[in-house]
Amino acid sequence: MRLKQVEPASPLARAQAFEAFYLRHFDAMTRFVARRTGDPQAVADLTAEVFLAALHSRHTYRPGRGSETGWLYGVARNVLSAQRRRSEREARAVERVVARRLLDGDDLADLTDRIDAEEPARRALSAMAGLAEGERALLELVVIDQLTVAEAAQALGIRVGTARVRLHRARRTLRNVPGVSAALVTEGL
Amino acid sequence: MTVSFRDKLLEELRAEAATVSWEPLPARRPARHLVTAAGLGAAVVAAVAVAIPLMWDAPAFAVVKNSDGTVTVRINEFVRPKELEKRLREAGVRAVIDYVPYGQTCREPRGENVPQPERMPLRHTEDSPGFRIDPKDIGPDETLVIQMHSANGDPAKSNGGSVAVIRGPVASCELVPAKFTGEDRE
Repeated sequence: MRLKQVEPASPLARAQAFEAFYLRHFDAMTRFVARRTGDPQAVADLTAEVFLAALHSRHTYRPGRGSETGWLYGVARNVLSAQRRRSEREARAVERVVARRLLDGDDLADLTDRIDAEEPARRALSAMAGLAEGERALLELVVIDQLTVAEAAQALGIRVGTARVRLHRARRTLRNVPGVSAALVTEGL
Repeated sequence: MTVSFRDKLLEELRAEAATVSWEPLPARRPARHLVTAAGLGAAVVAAVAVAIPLMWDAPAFAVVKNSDGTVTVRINEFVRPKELEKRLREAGVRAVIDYVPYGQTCREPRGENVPQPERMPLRHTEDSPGFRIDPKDIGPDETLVIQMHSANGDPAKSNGGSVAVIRGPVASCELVPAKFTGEDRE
């Protein structure tokens, strides 16, 4: 029986494709991290960690199951929450091996600019701190990181319908919080 | 001109990427207790390697349709694969089954693999040896492809096998020497 060759559809199926994937998402990932940490060296470390994690878990990305963006944000969230759980000692061990040795003065300036640019987003994130975890995580990805609801649902491993319900509930809660920007609670964003 | 962080990190990732396996899909190790040392990491390209639980004192195989629509399969001897395929077809599961000699495997790819494990077609049963298939997990144009390594049909000498779902036509098994590929695991 003759078979036509099937090209792997995954953007992560080949080393070269992975490089293109990295270049496609580098800017968005540094911004994602910069919204969550104020330290340029930590931004560099975590960005490196996110892409290392993406490389090593590339098999978990299924092109048919959603966008690569949604998947990568899921990976990034896992990296960041693992980083929050890590003890100081472990964090120092990671620092020794990852990205800050790659940074020079220009890079630091550039990352600092990104961190400054994300200051409003960090303020918004802290305003959302009072929400239930599931609602907060979703609102973060949709409003702050500008993912679609479907991508955010994929990043969090929940159904799109569940995501819509949570998003609605989160916005309703935030409407009653003084000082929350209108953008956070506007439906349809 | 200085090299940016982006480019330096790209270099690092490129170096890291050179150390990992770029096989099309992950090969999972069969459950250890059912695997002989020699068979560890049997190359299962674009498929999920499984160990199929076996029973010793029973007919060669059994296919039972359950009330919830699932099908329970027990394989006790690696014999008469065509008959097993027929029994599965009667139970609503289109399957291709190959028992291949130890050290050999079917040439890959045999068709368009449906990504796993989201659609893991086999579920191990908690309460009995064997595995369960939900025909609903397999689309109308898809075929469950099971390949088991065996030594003269003796399950005691099996070293696992692979399960895949293929969309569209499935190439017949062309035996080639099995490559034992490494996996990058953390």
